[in-house]
Amino acid sequence: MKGKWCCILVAFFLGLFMVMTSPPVVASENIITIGYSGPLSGGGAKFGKNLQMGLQMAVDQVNQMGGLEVGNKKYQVRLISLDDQFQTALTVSNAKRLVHKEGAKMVFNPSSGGIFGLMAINEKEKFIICAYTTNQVCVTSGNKLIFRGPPAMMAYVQAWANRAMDKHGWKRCAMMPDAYDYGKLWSGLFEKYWQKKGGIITTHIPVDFMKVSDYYPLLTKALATNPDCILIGSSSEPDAMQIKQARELGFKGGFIVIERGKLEEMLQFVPDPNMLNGSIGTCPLMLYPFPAAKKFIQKFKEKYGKDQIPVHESSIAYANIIYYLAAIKLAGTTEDVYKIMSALKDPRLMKMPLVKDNDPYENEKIFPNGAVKGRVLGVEFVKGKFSEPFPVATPDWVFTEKY
Amino acid sequence: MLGSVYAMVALGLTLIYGILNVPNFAHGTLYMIGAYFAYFAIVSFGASYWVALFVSMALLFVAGILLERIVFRPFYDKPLINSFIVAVGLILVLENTALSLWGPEFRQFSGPSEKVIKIMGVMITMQRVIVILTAAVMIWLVHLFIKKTRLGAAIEATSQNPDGALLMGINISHMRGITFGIGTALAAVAAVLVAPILLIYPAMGHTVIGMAFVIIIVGGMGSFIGAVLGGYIIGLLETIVTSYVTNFFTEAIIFGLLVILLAVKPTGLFGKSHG
Repeated sequence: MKGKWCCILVAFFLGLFMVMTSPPVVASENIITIGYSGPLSGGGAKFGKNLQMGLQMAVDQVNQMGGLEVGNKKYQVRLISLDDQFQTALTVSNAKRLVHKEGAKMVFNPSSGGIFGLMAINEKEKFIICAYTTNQVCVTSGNKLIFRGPPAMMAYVQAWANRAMDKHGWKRCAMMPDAYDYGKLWSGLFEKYWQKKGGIITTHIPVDFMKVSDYYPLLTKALATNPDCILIGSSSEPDAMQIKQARELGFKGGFIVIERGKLEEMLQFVPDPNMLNGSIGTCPLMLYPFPAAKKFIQKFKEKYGKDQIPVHESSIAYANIIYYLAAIKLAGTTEDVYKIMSALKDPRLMKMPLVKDNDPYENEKIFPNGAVKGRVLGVEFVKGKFSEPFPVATPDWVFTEKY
Repeated sequence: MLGSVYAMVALGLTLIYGILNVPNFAHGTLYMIGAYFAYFAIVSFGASYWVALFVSMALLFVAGILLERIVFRPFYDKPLINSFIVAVGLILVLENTALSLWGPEFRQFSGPSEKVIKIMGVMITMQRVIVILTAAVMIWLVHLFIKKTRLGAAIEATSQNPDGALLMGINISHMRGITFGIGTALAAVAAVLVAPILLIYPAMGHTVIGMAFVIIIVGGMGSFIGAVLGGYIIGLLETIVTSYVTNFFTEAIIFGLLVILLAVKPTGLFGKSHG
């Protein structure tokens, strides 16, 4: 008897699972599939969900306009998301499934490790990688089927370091970046630039934010080196905890926040906004002065509710899908990935109504190596409030050169 | 501070193991659920911190009894591997339920006091003091309960020799249920205590459960004192290794020590050899 109940229970959960994961059935055969492999559970789930919201928003918007017209045919767009929990091995097997089973010609992925994994197979298996990373290697390696949405890491590194030194005169920096690929690269570039400008790195303590449960021991170690500022950056909430605990331990200096942490999200996790004083980071999307950004925010809130704060993950992911779909339209093919790729880099792309009316960043162009020339603003937290946004210099070389 | 949390989680785990012989891998997930219950008690119903702690404890006690009754009981006379798989399956079910109900975002509630105090030149937040003291009190209460009450004695008897206990007229099924409830409630207390310092999210149990298993193996499977001392030792060790050696190999070092310990004393520090 009990065995039978167990079977029923198992069948029920299996059924539920399948209902939850199966994509909506689209009646027509003319479908463009966008593949997404990202962290949808585990410690990175919030980040992965933010991206997914942006992707889904672009897909739904195009479908609502009646689909995408390519040649003389109308296509519906669908998004298929698979969870990889930031694990490269899963990213690669997810991508294979998305490409071969679901017919995706493009896979969106947000981790440098995962992207490197995909770069090993994408040219052979003929799919485009839409890379959500500021890592430079993915656009300087010569891979022909990759484009990168976010701005270059170097732009942030230099802007934050300049602000910290030139405005505040901070010299001594303790680095506590995240312990993964991304944090290593970022802090590596930062260290070089900081020292070149005459600064001192007092200590380097990588923080594994997926595992660390208490920052006191690490912070005690960092504060013992008497820094003017601390470089942090894993993800908004752990960053906020780190800042809060540093203040509890009596730290009075500033924070340089790697762009994955968002000051506006961190604000919700500290008991007193003044704790964030002296933090330099990316300007919240909400404060971007561009009209297109304002329009995006409005659409986002209409779709996901007034209380949702749109962040750059959502808007960049959204913009990238818009570029990709526009490129398909421009190329006149949904199949030939090389033609789609060259359409992406075509100067006419940014002038297409689909892009012009929707791109929240009003971006200028996509370089031949696949890097989107993004516009970036930084901001600082002063006396419990955001400062005026300051522009981040983005000369062409930060997008095109190897460093 | 970490030691207190570990000790409580490990204590619950070892109680359950001692009496059920089931390594409850889902213990960390229940710890997570405990934190969420307290979060909703505070944020949605406006309860005070201590009320939330009690509510979460009570709910998890009931949840523990129900889980034992529904999920684990059918497998007692089956091979051990069945319970293993059930426990692992429980993680998936509970964690994904939490993920779909409450979403992946980090949540947080504040403790009764955000004050920072200075003790002999050391800065420490009130919440950390609360964690340490409450944990000590809880552990002491569980100890008293087991040693001084009839029910506790019955639990201990069941743990030592189920057949003997049955002959003495102890209702083993009830004991198992109650123990599971107590063990789970302890996890809830640990979670609610530490939540104001850390963050609440569906995967928060992962870090704790790995350590808790190391602790009960170090302390000796099923040993009360082993779990408590083991908890403090591992907690301290983790902190010391992170601050003075490296924060990269903390786990490697702790697991390495575990391997060495097992080679020297296979039953753990306070474990009984099988007999």
